[in-house]
Amino acid sequence: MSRNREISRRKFVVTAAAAGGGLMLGIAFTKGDVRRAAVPAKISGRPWESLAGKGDIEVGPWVVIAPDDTVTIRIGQSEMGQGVITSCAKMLAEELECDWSKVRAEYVSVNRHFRENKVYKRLVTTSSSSVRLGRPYLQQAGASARERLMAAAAQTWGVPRPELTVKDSVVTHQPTGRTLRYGQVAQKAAGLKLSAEPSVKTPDQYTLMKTPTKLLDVPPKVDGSAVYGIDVRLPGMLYAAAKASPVFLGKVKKYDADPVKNRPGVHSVVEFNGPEIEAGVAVVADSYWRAKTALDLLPIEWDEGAHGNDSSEDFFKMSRAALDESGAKVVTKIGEPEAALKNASQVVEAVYQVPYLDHTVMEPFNCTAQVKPDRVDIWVGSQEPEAATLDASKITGVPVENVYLHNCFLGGGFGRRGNQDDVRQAVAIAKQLNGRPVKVIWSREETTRHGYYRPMRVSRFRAALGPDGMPLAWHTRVAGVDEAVFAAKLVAAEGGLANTRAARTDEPADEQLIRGLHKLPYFAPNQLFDYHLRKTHVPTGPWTSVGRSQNEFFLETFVDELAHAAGKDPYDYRRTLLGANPEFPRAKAWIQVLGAVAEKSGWGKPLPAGSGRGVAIGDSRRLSRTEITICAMVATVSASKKGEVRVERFDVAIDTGPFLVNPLAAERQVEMQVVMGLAATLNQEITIEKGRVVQSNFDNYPLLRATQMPEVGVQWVRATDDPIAGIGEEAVGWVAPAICNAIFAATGKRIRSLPLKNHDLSWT
Amino acid sequence: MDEEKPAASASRGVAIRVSAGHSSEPFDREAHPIAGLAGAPAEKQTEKILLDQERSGWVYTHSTPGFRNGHPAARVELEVFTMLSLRVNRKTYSVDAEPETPLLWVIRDTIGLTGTKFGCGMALCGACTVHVNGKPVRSCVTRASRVVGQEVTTIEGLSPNAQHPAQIAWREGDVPACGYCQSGQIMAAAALLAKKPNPTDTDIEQEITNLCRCGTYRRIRQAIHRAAQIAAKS
Repeated sequence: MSRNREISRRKFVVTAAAAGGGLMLGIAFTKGDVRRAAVPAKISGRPWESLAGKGDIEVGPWVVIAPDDTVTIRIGQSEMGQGVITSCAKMLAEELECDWSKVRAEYVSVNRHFRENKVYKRLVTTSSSSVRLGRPYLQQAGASARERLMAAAAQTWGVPRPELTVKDSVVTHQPTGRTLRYGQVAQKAAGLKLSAEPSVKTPDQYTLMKTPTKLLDVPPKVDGSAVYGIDVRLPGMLYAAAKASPVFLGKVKKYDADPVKNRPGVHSVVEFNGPEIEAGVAVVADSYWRAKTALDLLPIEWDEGAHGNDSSEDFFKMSRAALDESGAKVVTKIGEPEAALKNASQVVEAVYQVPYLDHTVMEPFNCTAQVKPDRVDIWVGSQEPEAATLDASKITGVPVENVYLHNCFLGGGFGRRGNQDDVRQAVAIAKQLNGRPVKVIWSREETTRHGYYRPMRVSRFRAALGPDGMPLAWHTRVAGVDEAVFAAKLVAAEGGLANTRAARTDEPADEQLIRGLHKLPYFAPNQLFDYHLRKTHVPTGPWTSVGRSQNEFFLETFVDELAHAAGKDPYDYRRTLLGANPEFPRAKAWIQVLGAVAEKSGWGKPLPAGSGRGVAIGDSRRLSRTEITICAMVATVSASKKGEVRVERFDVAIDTGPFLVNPLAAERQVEMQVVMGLAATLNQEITIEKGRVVQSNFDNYPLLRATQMPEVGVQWVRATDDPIAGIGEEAVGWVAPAICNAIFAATGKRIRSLPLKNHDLSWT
Repeated sequence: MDEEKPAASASRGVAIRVSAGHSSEPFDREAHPIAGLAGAPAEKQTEKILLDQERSGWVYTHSTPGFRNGHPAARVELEVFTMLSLRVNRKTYSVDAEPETPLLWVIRDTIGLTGTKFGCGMALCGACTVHVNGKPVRSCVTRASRVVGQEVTTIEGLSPNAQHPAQIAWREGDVPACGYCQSGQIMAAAALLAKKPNPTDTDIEQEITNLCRCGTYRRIRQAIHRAAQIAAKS
């Protein structure tokens, strides 16, 4: 009864506004105002909807040209604040030779990607890969479209192609001075086939790239029209508030819908579970607030499974114990490290640990889904729309050609929005609602407590130093927790879904544990790097910088410790160790970047008591790729005697390689990463008690506040000749060690575990 | 309707349901005029019901004789309930929501203006900042009933064509990154600028406590100074 009444109430509600004695009839469920943008739209607030008009011509799957020369470029990567829409559009426009002021952007159709044999190459936005992997095919798509447009002009005039030039969407026949605009030849170009694909520009030929470009996605983000996943509204849409098992891998034992089913607006109470779906219960209602308040009153009994007493404290104990256990997996062994350590007169040893971290996306988790027998629609902000589509298809049995994922703006990603748990859960809920669309929203608490966390980790570093302070032997041992245990467990049980890391990457599950540590940049004639991997029930996943936020804290803090043990300046010591390492061909470039940041930060200049500088450097090297991005940082901190630490400024030097696609976006990304790393270093940790996450909201998992913001100076350095790995996460890793090394310089206190809030930093 | 005076605090809403036999079908006002008001415009029919009734939760039942052979009587039910009357962006909305519903969810779900964001639900982050009578308010912890009769402004209503000096400055400085917190940041900034047309860095630090996960704080501060300049010129 209640269900019918609520539907009818919502549908036929008559609103009465008594103003002036008049009576207003209408439907209270007003549609969102579709507002006209005041600034000419370069991108729609609903980026998944095509801007292309009726007379617009598609010249290849990526490019649409309007009769008035407006060019719409399709973007396969997801915008979450990194400026990727603008960067992808630039890479293509660089070759298209179109008028940038007339470029618009829209997302590619994910559905078309599947229907046309993965025509958009890769719908993934992770690992700083958008430029690194996207540039070749985006440049090619732009060049191909340009050549077809020029061939069409040549045909129109009956002249040879070499007599034509092009600039800003205008093709000119040089001998006669005649011109044709792209809009005039697009129709003909669309029907042309090239006998051979044109070659593309090399970085030294770039004209549009390398220069700062304003971001296309800014205007809809200052007038409220940008639609994030959580903002989607559909006719007949229901809202769901979801609660998953507080203890990971638990089950719903029972729940009682009776106390809530007659509450206002409540539609139904549904359970969800399945492969790679944390089991739980959702209340479905006609508004989120009604769903949420009902969910809060819903009695649920959980089967906590085997992990109801697990704690992160125990995980740390287990990991610390593992440091002394035999059977560690060896990654690197050079010379006779054990013997050298045994015989050394000076051995420096340190044990480090870092906690689980949450991604803390600003937009709480959500997904809207509509499941019909022959079609599935999904609205979500996703870093991996391709994998999400495959998962939705698998869960519903609807062929992937009939799954439509509408990618929205992402209110932060950081690696979190590439796990598809939001999509799987929403699809599992929507499946039970007879084809009605439902928007599932997690509370902030649910979002914090059901993450795929940055893995906690413990490490022990030992180095034998010679009389000159140079390392004779070096042993790194890491005890990590499985980076994808949640997925792995369910894969084993169910045969796996599309998104599982094991299924779509060649990298071993422990690759992020290894990254950076596998190849020591500093000279040590005898080396050993080995590790243990332990399992916990806590889901983990990639967190911006993937591995570096832990490994570089260990490595760059330890080098600092060695410098002090050797009585050397930490900056000079690094230079010496790099210069002495014949096995590290990038040492020269490292030294260049290191020198740049030292100079900029005033390294070595006196500071008042209680202030100090700390340096850190790295290059984001990985086992699985050759590209690197060299980044060096100096943090300048001040610490009061009471132990209040303030990071005053960050100087960052980064190698650009031969080009940056958009220096404006690149600088913002570096600043963003400094803020991210700083917040984590100061205050953030996810702890586990009784099998569940303790933290819940910004009060106990604080973000950086404006008042804590340091000055950030970013300096571009041309230190290498190959394109860099990227810049989406290549600065995060060095924030923590730079700060902690600076704290040592300021207070004499060596920080070996994070976050800083757990330390007494007072000094006298 | 755009420039109405604030409406009375609460009014009555009516839900109508018609059922015939075992089925429950959408009620078509044209096809099934309420008894005694056949032919009258829908507004009149509703007015009559409202005038006749004082109490909420009343169910008006009207049964028609079997209108088709073999069918039991059709039944029309009317339910009266409280509606909140809210002024948002200079329009009056009567909304079906419990008085304790946070203003945020009324704005987003019921009225359908989604530029105001849900971030924390505890007034910690400010993503939900709107103006109530020009003052910045965190709508996630503000009961909807508290703002009845007051002027609520959201990012969508801050200015015609997004030309508020803060919005212009935000575009000039490419302030947003992911952008999710920026509606709240802009609303907080606009309220500050209204109070202090030329705020200092300290004013900004003290008054704008909104969180930004992407760390756009430096650009926000610069944009507020720029907005002050733009406002002074216009």
